[in-house]
Amino acid sequence: MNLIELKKKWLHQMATIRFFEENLASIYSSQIVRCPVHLAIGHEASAVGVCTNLNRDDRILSYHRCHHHFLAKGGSPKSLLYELLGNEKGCSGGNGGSTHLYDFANGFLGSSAIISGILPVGTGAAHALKLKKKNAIVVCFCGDASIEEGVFFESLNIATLWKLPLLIVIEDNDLSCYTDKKTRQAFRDFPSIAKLFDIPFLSADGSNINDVFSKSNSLIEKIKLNSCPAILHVNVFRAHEHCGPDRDDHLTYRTMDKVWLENDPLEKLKKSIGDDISGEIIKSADYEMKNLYQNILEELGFAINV
Amino acid sequence: MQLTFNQAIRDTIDRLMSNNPKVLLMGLGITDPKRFFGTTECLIEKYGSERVLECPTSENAYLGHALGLSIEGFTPIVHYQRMDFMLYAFDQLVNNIAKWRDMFNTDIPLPLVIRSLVGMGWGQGAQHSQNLAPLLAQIPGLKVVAPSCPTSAAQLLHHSLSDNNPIIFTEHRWLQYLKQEINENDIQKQSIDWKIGKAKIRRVGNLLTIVTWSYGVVEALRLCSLFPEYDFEIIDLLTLSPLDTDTVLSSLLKNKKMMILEPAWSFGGIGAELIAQLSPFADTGKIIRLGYNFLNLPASPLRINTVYPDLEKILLTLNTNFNLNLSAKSEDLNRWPIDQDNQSWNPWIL
Repeated sequence: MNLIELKKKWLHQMATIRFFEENLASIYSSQIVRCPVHLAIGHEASAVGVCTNLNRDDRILSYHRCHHHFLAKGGSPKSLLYELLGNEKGCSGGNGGSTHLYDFANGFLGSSAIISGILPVGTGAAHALKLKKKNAIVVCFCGDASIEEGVFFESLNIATLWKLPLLIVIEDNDLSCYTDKKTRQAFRDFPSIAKLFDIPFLSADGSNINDVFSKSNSLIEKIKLNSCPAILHVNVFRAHEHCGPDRDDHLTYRTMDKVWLENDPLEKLKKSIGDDISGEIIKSADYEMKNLYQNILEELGFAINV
Repeated sequence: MQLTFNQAIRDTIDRLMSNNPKVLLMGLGITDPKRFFGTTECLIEKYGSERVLECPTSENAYLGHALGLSIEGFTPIVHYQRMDFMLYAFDQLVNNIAKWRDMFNTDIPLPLVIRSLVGMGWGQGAQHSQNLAPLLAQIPGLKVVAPSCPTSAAQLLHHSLSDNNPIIFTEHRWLQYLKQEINENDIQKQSIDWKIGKAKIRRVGNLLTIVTWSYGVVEALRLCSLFPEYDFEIIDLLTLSPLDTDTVLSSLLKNKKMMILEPAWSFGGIGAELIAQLSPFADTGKIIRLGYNFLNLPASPLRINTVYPDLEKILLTLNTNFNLNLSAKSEDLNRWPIDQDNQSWNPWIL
């Protein structure tokens, strides 16, 4: 696929995630979604950029902010919406809600609320792939706060010691709920953590999907070539509140507006493709998601317009 | 043939590994010179380091790692030499392993056995001898097993591996070197005579029922041997979750008198649970419990009797509550059936 085709595909995937989340935000106040939601608006390029490099055999695990990973790995938006509505047709039978998504057939092994709690599960799954001699890897998505939990270090040690095909993607939005990184972290920088284990590390701009794509691509090559784990650090912006459907700029714990306008991954990709082509793609993704919501809400008897 | 508890475990693991190439061993100390109380003797030599994984001191990560292997079709047996260290792994155990299938509404098999040793007595101290099995039994999604003899150890290990659910397999350190005449078949394959969630009546009697498990079974059987003229019934729970209340209830309805002897803290424990479940049926009978006092466990030999229920306390409790008149020789009163130099009184070979 040439780059322009790839960009068109990315735009459709990212717009699908964006509109899925925006529709979710718009119906949230009706109280039919009875679980806390962690919206991925602003994180789309990280998920789509990494997952473009993955095959069906590759596995991913994710954390509480996981809708974008689920959709980027090939999960169906329909089963995600059913899940959020607590319906048994949901990807986790309605038991998981927003935080615990599951799509084994597509290699989405699960997502957990306990920040870095999925990391050792990822090392184990990577170990299994290695024992089965599969040419596949496991990707664990986690947030910047995961490094502050001991199991991050334990898992990285095990993955390096046993030479496991694991890519840890740290989606760094600077925030753990509302507490910023400099209040929480004492270590020098992210590369120094990788240096400690002598494993490959790259940092990508999460507002630029091509950057995420090519850097994760090069790390995955290294993982397969050297049979070792690697870390991809991605700077992202969380456009909405930590948990819930709204923007929360009024809380004044950060100044988002200008930063967000300059770093919205979707807007950046639209610009690089050009208005004509991107307009069509955006329109169709918008239409598809509206339709999806309308149909499912109608089917389940909720009289709500999106 | 006669085998000790640890030999029965070792031979069973060997059999399970040779039958199924997906069975893996993991943990700290399983390839060290002591071979986890001898229970992993010769296994690394026979199966190699690909299947016998000596782990870093990362209790939490290696349990999560085992979950990842299990999700992908392997059957790990995870090892903790002291249950106290497993507390580090509570996140993986309680938040992931116990919930994985419910949370995702999936019925994928999750075979995963966690061998965890519990201790007792002086010398071990507060952080090396806790029996937290009742605490673990409180978590939905986990099964908790507690064998008391070499045969039950071998059989329940077979059943644990074929159960396809996460199992916490607790082993009392004082049982490790007890011998028993054991049928070769019990090592070779699982038998329907044993089942996870099924208690065993170790001795039939009509006077009073003692319900216990793990090391407590040894203590209860010694009581029977010291007082052969008293017709005690002894129930060995063998599994703490799911709890076999049916067997206990039948015995209660028959004997009307019951003592639950717990090799663990009584407060909020298995005895409390049994009494709560049985109380609607106990209107004509009486149930009492005796376990550890609600204190942290001592390192000093001077203080062990403040916590553990020794024979003196057992007799006092029985005499007071059931109007009996049991008295033992003073040298038996504060003596453990098994002491730490393995000068054992062994109920399994009499």
